[in-house]
Amino acid sequence: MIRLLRRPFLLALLFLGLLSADRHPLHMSSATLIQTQKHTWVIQKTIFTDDLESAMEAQGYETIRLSDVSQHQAKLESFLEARLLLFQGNKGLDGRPIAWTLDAPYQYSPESIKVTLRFTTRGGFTLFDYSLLADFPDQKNVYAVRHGSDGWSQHGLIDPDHPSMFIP
Amino acid sequence: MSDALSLYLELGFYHIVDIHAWDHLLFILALMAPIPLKAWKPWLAALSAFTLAHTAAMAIQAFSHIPLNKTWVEWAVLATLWITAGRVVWLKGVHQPKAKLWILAGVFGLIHGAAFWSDFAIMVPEGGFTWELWLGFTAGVEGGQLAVVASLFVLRAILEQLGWSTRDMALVLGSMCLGIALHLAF
Repeated sequence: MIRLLRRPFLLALLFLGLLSADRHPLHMSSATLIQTQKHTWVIQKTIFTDDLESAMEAQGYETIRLSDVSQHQAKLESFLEARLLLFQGNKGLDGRPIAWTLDAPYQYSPESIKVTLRFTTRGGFTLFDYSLLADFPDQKNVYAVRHGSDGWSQHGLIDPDHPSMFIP
Repeated sequence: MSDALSLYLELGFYHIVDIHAWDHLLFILALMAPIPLKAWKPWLAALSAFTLAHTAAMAIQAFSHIPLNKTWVEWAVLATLWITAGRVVWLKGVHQPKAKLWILAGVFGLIHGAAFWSDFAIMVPEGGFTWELWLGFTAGVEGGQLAVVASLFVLRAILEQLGWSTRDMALVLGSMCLGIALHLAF
């Protein structure tokens, strides 16, 4: 054993072939949730372009290149409709659904996609964000909540174990 | 503790203690590998230099927002790993008491700090930066780093009890880190 240990390059090569490692994968999206008027809210969400493209392709869409904004606006909206769900109150999926609208066009860059969603609601609501959770087990969606011009009042993490957050 | 602080504390901690993310983890292992357990001064000096340097780099970035190319930063982090693990292998695991390892740790800490910042910047919603988030993430990173060092310390103490010499352990750790670091390049 000790003789083997004294052959460092052999060991290095051994580990080189044995492990399937990744440098530092980061599957994450971030979003702000801002109350712009008494009953009006705006979500601005930033998602990695490559993650979103591969997730959309995994859902059965043909090869997706989100750089072609006009061609993919409707597909992206349909993709998000199934994954970003809002319900009134704190009853989770049993609450009354809240409809949102997606601003067109979405903002494209090779690194990230920015989408803006708008909705109106009275009182507290529950946000479910399943986007990319099924595609990457380590996916995390971070939210920062602000009521009007006040500072950030709430920060939340959405991951596969906790796909929702309540905003009072 | 506010939800923002606890959230970014958690994000920082698991940014280091993540079985899928090897870069920072391996660097700490390779850096500490050749230092004997009882030589507390070099441990403390190297760890302090690394911690101070990457915290300083993150603070500078928070003030200045110097644009960084994420790909280049990732390659630079990988290079720190090749050099640090390569050094252990080159020296055949022998600890060099006169080598100023803390200088290496400090310089490379700046590069790792830049990488922490570029990942942290992704985690912060646009326009949502606050020092509370920065503090939470930085403290989480330090906590994760301490957890890794403590685990390494315990593992090495156990192996030492089983008759492994510091040099043999350093060689195994250094070789492992070098092997994986080379693999990460492809």
